Amino acid sequence: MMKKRRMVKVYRFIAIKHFYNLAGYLLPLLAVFVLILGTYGSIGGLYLAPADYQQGDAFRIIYVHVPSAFLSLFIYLVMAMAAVIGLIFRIKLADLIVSGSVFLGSWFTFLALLTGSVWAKPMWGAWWVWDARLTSELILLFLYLGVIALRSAIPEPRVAAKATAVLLMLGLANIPIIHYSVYWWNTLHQGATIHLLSPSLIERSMLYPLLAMIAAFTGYYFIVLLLYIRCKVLEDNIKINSANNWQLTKVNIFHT
Amino acid sequence: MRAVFDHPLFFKITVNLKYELLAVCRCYQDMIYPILFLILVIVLFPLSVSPDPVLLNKISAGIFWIVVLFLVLLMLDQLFRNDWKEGDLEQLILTPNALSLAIFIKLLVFCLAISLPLIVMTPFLSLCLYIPIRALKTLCWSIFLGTPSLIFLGGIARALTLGLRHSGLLIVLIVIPFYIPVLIFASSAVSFASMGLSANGPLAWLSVLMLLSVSLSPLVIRMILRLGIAFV
Repeated sequence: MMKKRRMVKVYRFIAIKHFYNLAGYLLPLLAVFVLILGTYGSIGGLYLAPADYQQGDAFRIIYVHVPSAFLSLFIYLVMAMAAVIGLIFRIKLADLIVSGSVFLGSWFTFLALLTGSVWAKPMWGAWWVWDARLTSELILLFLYLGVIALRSAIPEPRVAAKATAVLLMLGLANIPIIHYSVYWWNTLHQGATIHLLSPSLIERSMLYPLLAMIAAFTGYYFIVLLLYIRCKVLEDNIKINSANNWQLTKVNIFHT
Repeated sequence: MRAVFDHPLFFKITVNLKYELLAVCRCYQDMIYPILFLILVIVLFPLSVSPDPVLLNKISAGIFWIVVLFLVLLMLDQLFRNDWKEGDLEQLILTPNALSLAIFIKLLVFCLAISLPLIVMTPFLSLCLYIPIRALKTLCWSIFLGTPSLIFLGGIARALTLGLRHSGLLIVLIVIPFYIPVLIFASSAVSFASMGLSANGPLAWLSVLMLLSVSLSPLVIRMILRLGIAFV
C-alpha cells in the first residue's frame, strides 16, 4: 500500500502560469531591493569608503568590476543548471531561463573585461596581459557568444533549447579554471580577498559597499530575467491565440 | 584466444572498422587534401612574416600548430556529412545497435586519415619553418596525441551543427574555446623541445586531454544525434 505523499507546494512554480504570477509578485520587491542596496553600494563605495593607500581613488572601479565578474560566473552557473535540469526533466521554464540570461551574461563578461583593462592600465601599465584569469574569462566570453550563435542558427526552438543545453554543459569545465586560476598559476591578477568563512583581507568600510553592489547587480539580473520570462510568455500566448483564432483575424483583415 | 574472436563486441568493432576503412580507401584523395593544405599554408608564413631563421625558430611551434588547427577545422565539415546526406546516419541512430561504438570508429578512422598524412609530412614542413631536428620527435608525438582530442571535440561541435547553414563557420565559433588548452599544451611542448628542455609535462597533459575526449565524446555525440537536430 502506497503512503500518501503531501505534494511539495513550491514545485508548482515550475509551471509557467504560476511562475508568471510569482514573477509579477517578486518584481516590485526586487526593484526596491536593488534600489536600496545599489544606492548604499554606490554612495558607500564612491564617496564614503576611504581611498586606498597604494592605489588612491582609482581602486573605486572595484565596485563595478568585481560585481560584473562575479555575475558573469553566476549567470553561467544559473544557465548551466537550468539547462541540465531542463534536459533531464524536460521543463519549459528552463529554456526560458537560458534564453533570458545569455545576452546579459555575455554583456557582464564583456563589462568585467572592459572595466578590468581600464583598471589595469594605471595599475599594471598595460591594457591587457595574457595571464590565466584574464585568458579564461575571455574564453568564457567566447563560450557565451558560441551559445548565442548556436541558438540563433537552429530554426526549431525546442531542438535549439536542447542543443544549447549540451553546449552549456560542456562549457562548465571553464568555471573552476577561472575561479581557481589565481591559486593554480602565478598570475598578475590578485588573489581572492573576500573569503566566505574567514575574515576578509579587505577593510570593512570598503567591503560592505562591495557586497551591497554584488547583491544589487544580482538583483538587477533577476529583474531582467523575470521581465524577459514574462514578456516571452505573453508573446508565446499571443502567437498561440492568434494561431487558434486565425479564422477571426482573417475575417477582420478582409472585411475592414 | 578464440573467445576474443567470437565475442560480439569484437565482431562489431571489426565490421565498423572495415566499413569505414573501405570508405576511406575508395576516396583516397581525401588523404591528399591535408598534405596539400599543410604545404600551401605553411609556405605562406615564412614568405609573409620573415624568412629569418632566428625569428622563425621562436614562433615556428605555434605557427605549425595553428595551421594544424585550421586544417582540422576545415576538414571537420566533412565528418558525418556523407552519412547524413545519404540517410545512413538516421538509420544508424534508429537501429538498436551500439551507436557510440559506431561513432567512435568513425571518429577514429577520420583521425587516422588526417594525422597519418600529417606525421608523414612533418619532417619536410619542419624544414620550411626552421623547427630544429631535436624537436621533431616531440612534434610527431604532439600531433599523435593532440589530433585525436581536436577531432573528437570537433565531432561534438559537428553533431551540434549538422544540418544547419554556415555549419563550417558555426563549428569554428563553438569549438575554439575547447581547443585553446590543446593548442597551448601542444605548442608549448614543441617550444620546450626546440629549446632543448624536456617536453614531458605538456605531452602528459596532452595525453590527459586525449584520453578524456576520446573516451567521453562518443557518448556526448550519441546524445546529440538522438536529439534530432539534423533531421528537422
